[in-house]
Amino acid sequence: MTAAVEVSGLVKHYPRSKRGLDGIDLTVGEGEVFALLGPNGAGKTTFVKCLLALLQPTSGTVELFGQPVSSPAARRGVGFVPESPRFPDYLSGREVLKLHGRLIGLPAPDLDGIIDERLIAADLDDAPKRVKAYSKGMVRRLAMAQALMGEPRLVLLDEPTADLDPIGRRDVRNQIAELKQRGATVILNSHLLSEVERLCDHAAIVHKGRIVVKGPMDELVPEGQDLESVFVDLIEKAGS
Amino acid sequence: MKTVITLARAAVTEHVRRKLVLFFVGMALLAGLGLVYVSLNQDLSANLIGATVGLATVLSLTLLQGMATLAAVAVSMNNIGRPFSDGEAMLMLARPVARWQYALGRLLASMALVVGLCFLLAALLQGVNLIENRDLGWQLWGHWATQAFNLMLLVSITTLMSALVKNPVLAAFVGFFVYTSSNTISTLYLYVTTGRVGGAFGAVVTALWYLTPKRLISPLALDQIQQSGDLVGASSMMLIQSNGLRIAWAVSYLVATVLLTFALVQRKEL
Repeated sequence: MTAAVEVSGLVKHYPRSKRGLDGIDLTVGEGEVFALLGPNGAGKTTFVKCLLALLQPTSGTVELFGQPVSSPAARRGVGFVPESPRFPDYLSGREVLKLHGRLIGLPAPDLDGIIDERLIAADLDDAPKRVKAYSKGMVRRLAMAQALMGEPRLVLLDEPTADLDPIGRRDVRNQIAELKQRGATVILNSHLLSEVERLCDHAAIVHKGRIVVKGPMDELVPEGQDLESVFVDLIEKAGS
Repeated sequence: MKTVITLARAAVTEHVRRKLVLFFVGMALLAGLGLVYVSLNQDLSANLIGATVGLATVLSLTLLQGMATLAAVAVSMNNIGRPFSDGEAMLMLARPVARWQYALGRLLASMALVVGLCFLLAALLQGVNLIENRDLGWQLWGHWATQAFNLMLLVSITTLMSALVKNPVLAAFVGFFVYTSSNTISTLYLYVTTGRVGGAFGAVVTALWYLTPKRLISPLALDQIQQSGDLVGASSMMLIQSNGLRIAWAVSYLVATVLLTFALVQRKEL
């Protein structure tokens, strides 16, 4: 079976900064819900951006479904919610989804139906006309809606529940559960460890640009402990 | 190509909704009304330039041309720098979209708007000319066709600058400076070719002449310079004698600018 994500020797150095990635090797299998955990500045967002060729790695290779990510075709069937989503202010939510639907090549006759479905699911069907007038939570819900356009095989979620109220967070959890049921691969980058523990079947903990530990969730968290205590212990040990 | 067209349409929507295009179209129509008034009011023409006809044409070549130049800068200064720095480009580039497609889509949108504006101005001036009983015929349309090409060149230079610097105002200023510097450099280069300037300065001027954009010459502008006896102006415009060679050079410059923009966008990080 082809891995959804295959990362080998990934190094990313920023000029005039210590932050980055320092040799990451990682394989995420198809259908896994994979958590990427780590303290602030560990390199999680850098890693996610390298997975989408938004950042050019200093060295190493990244493949999505067996194709090098530098090829745009590798990003077909990939949905992404960034940490701070930003849409063109002058478009409406519907137009944003239409633009993304066209970019991923959804058939024109089906597009309106798919968009209606996504807007209702994101509770944005009666949202203000322009994205400019959206609240932070609405922008995040729109980001989730665009990421799920066209039933992606791989979804990368960078802090998807930030800025969301409890109902919004529950909706995101439900959407991740649906993706898992559909057999899609999800890479989740979140600080909400209780959510991660509930949703993810595999995890990696990143610290100072390196993976400290990785594996199935039930192996990482021994019985009687929770993910938070395991995470804190590991980071404190790695930091010392 | 479908991806490029989708991105270009989105960029056109951006400019139209930001009311930039409407502003320049509105200004053009307002200027057109002014020109109609001037051409109908012969006393005003006589007082201003001592001629009863032709004032509207004279004004058009400066006022409307200047406005079209401003419009070209305005619709291209935000093409690359802003969407990359504020993260707007991120979600689109996370799709199966190559970076050159993203840049080309935004570039084509700006070019299409500028060409559309030039066409509108040409039509407007054709109307004013008819009121003035003065038919410039093919020269008027030739003028605006060359102007449209030159402004596409300005769009490509400003877009290149917006790929180099984050600040759109700086990109606009540098783009405009590079574009307008070509006339001054051509004049200096004329002195080099005639042997009046030499040495190290001459070598620098020669290098700059090869680096600055080569614009197409409007049939109307050349005609006016020749009639006014501005030999330096005319000669510096005619440094490249052959029309074909001049067009080839201008097109090559445009293509090179676009390719350089693609290379810069390819290396940009989000």
